[in-house]
Amino acid sequence: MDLASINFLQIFFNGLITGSIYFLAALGLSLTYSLLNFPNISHAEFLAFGAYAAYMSLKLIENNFFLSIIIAFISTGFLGIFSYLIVFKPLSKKGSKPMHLTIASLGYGLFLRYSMYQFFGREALTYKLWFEAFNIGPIRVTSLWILIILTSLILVFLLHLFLKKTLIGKAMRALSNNQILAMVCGIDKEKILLLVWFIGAGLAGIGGVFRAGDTRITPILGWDLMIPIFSIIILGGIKNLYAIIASAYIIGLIENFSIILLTIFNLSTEYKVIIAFIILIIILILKPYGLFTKAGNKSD
Amino acid sequence: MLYKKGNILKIIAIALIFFILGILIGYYAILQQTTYVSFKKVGEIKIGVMLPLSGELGPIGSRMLKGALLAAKIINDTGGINGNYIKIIAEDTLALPEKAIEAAKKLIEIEGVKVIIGPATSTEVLAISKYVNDREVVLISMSATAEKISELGDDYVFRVVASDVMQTQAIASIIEEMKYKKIVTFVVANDYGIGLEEGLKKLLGGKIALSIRYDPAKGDYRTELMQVSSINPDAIFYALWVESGIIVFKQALDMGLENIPTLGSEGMADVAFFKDEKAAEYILKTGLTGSKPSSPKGTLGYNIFYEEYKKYFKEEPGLYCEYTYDATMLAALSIAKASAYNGYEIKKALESTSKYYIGATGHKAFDKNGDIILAEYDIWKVSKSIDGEYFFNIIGSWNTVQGLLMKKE
Amino acid sequence: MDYLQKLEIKVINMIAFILDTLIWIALYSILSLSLSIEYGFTGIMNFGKALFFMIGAYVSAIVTLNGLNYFIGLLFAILFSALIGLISSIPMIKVREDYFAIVTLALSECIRIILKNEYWIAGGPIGLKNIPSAFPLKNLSYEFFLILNLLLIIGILLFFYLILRMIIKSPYGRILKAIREDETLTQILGKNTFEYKIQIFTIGSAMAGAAGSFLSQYIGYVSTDLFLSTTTFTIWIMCIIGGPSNINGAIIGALFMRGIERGTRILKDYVNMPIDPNNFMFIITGILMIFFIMYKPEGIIKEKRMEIE
Repeated sequence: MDLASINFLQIFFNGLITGSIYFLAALGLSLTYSLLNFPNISHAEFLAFGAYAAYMSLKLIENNFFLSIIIAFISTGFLGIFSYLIVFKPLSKKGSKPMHLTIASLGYGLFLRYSMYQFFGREALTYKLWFEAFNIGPIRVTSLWILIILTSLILVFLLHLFLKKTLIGKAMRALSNNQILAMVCGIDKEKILLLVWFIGAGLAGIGGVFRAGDTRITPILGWDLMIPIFSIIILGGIKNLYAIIASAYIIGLIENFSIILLTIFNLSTEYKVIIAFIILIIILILKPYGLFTKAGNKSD
Repeated sequence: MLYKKGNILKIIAIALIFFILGILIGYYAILQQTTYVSFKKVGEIKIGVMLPLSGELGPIGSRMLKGALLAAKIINDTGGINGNYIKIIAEDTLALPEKAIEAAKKLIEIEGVKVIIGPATSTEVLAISKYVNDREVVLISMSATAEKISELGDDYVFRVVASDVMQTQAIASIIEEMKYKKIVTFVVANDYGIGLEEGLKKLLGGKIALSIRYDPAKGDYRTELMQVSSINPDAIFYALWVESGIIVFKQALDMGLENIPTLGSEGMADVAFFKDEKAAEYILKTGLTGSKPSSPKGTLGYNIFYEEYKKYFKEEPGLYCEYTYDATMLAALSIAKASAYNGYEIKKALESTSKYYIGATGHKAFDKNGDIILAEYDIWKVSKSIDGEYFFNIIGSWNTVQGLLMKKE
Repeated sequence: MDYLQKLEIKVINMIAFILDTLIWIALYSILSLSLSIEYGFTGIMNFGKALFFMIGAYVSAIVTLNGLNYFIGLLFAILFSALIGLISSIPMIKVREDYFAIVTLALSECIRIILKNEYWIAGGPIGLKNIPSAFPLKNLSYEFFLILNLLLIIGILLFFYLILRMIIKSPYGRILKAIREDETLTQILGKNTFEYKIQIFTIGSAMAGAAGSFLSQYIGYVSTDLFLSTTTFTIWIMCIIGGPSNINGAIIGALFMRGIERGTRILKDYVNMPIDPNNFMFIITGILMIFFIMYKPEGIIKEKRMEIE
């Protein structure tokens, strides 16, 4: 294998695409994880739901991809609120431990997934859209891929502004950092929680649309991504949103660059998933509470 | 520590209630398609069918079922077997070995079938092979092509389609014919794809410059495809399942691979690929050429099947329909020849009946391992007709006796 | 068809079917029990059950394919699964519980993917076939063959059931519950909770391995497709619904789930309704899981109150 013939720029670009989708999917999960202290396994189904919402939107109003993305964001956001109010809030009010919430989210996820199977059928669907492919210098791109990367970067920026500059954003950070203290300071936990579920699920919805546009629409669309997403969240440390953003892109890049290694050693490229995971295992063994979290902050 | 009698009774009672509750919940669980197709109730002869009727292979499986139904209908319409009518009992396995085991149990223990048509995939066949042999039930698969099934030897497992060992020879002969010297294989990471890849490696050795196995769940194959293009092979060989295959082809077009010729196995000869514009354009531009177990369109056997199928179902037969038809026909004829509705007798009858059966897919004589002796493949190429319809044009054939024969243009 | 005719459920080989159903219930009871001791009693969130189930099956298959007696295969399966359980839990056990769930799930999937892709280890995606049975069928009636298998699986189940019962009633068992309730407090009281957790994880893995060994000789075939993450989730559902903190609950859960699966397949021929049975099963169990967690987290069978002897 001739190293000079490898198009590193292309791999880098591919890594950005992968990373962007991971970021959109992981961010919402980490938001709810940090506030309610449990991994919401049904988050995978939020991704799929967004993809289907966009599909319905495109059926009604053809060719308007932007509209479908917005509809996906809003409807999945509402699904997030609904899920919180019906399933997770009652449980946490009863004093359920995080493990109970996790298991409940597993059941809820199954319910959502198979309801989607029932409603939309088992065959995979696609958006009837054409994204033109062209060259930018040595890199091969399509309009969809550029859209994915740009949208994610813009959202990163918006998120940063939101968290650092707006009052609500600051309240969210305070709540995530130290719940009791934040509430003592008068922050309304309930309102913030609703907002977090809305945004988190909504972002997942957008991630789902992009993922579906890149691949296909199916109820297990989100589930395919769950292992990398969990690796990202754990690596980043749940509460540190910036670390999670970084992890998402890092893992996206690692996955793509690892293909080169795998093909040199004549191994199956199915293993690229494993590489991210091995890194995760090693980090956890050395730092059982995640890369960016100090041992003292392990749980509230 | 005394174990109170009351406690044990309570536990047994709860256990029973739970089991019944479980079955009652099953009672409200349903089915939208009828699994029973009985034509008349005079005397019934049951033939079981195991196929993926839902799930990723669901669309293909539901069409394959029609092949079985057609065979049953033709026999029943002409008086059945000595006045007894064939009843097809279909079970959905979702192409999963776990479900296949459950489906087989139901068919054999509850329905009492002695012949099963299917399952469709090799891992399913292997998962139930011990069971059907223990129970002496004949199994005829229409599409399980793994090499390992031949190794089961002389038992109750038969298949009307050849092992992929043969298909790799057909593909290798195409590669020779087109004078390709550098090939890349790009296969789905399961027994089907990996089996073909390993088979090709044995035959072509050094010609294969790169092998990629992809995870159908991943959906992100850009870098793999980039690797392929950087090697600049003479051709790419694909062995994919439709759902993830469409994604691979979409991304291949996006990554600019449309100038490299492509080859495929029978899984690629599926009209479902045409559903997606980019995938369709990619396979047309690259002149996707491949092999598939033959549907010998010129022969009388196939034409009879085709006419009846169109008349009854009013649509084109799908992939492996004709193989399911042949398997069912063979089963029915063997039951007729056997002296009793009993697995051992049916097996003996099948071995002899197969020697003179020429069906929709040609000769079905079995060897001692339950494989067909004559393996035959169509060589196809994707084309577009004048009215813009994509279709698979048959450009040649390959069989174990004559090797590769390409049609003259 | 006449409605009454429809209700007449014909089971042609009634005995064989019932025996086989009981065998599967017993098999899954072992798996459910192995999770129950980890999660229900010690609070370990193990989402990698399928891994040890798979290891046991493969090890037993390889041993018996090399000509050795089945019970040696069973022994090796138990020991090997226990060993892997031990080795993998030592580095991971200090990880907080929800991370642990994720890590065990990912580990299970990764090893499955490796086994699937590497032909030389164990047949790759096509797996291993012609695995010798514990009881040769020659000269036995099929029903008798099933009875022997049933006795074997019940024997294994009973063996582990009694061991677990002993553990639970002992002071060791009380420490497990303490760990489940409040690990930090237990540590303050001077117990090395990590040691206990590792031991329990090892035992749970050994049990799953035993189940796997039985499976491989009963079906005569193993392949990675039989050990997907859905298997782990099914075991979780059984454990939760049956009652995670009661060892009888594990058995009830297994009975319930297998009852639904078998029942669905039979009764779909008699009832016509708008929902696909495959979907229906999971929609219902999903709702049931939420319901149980919310209103009855102890499951169907509550935890026994502790007896101080």
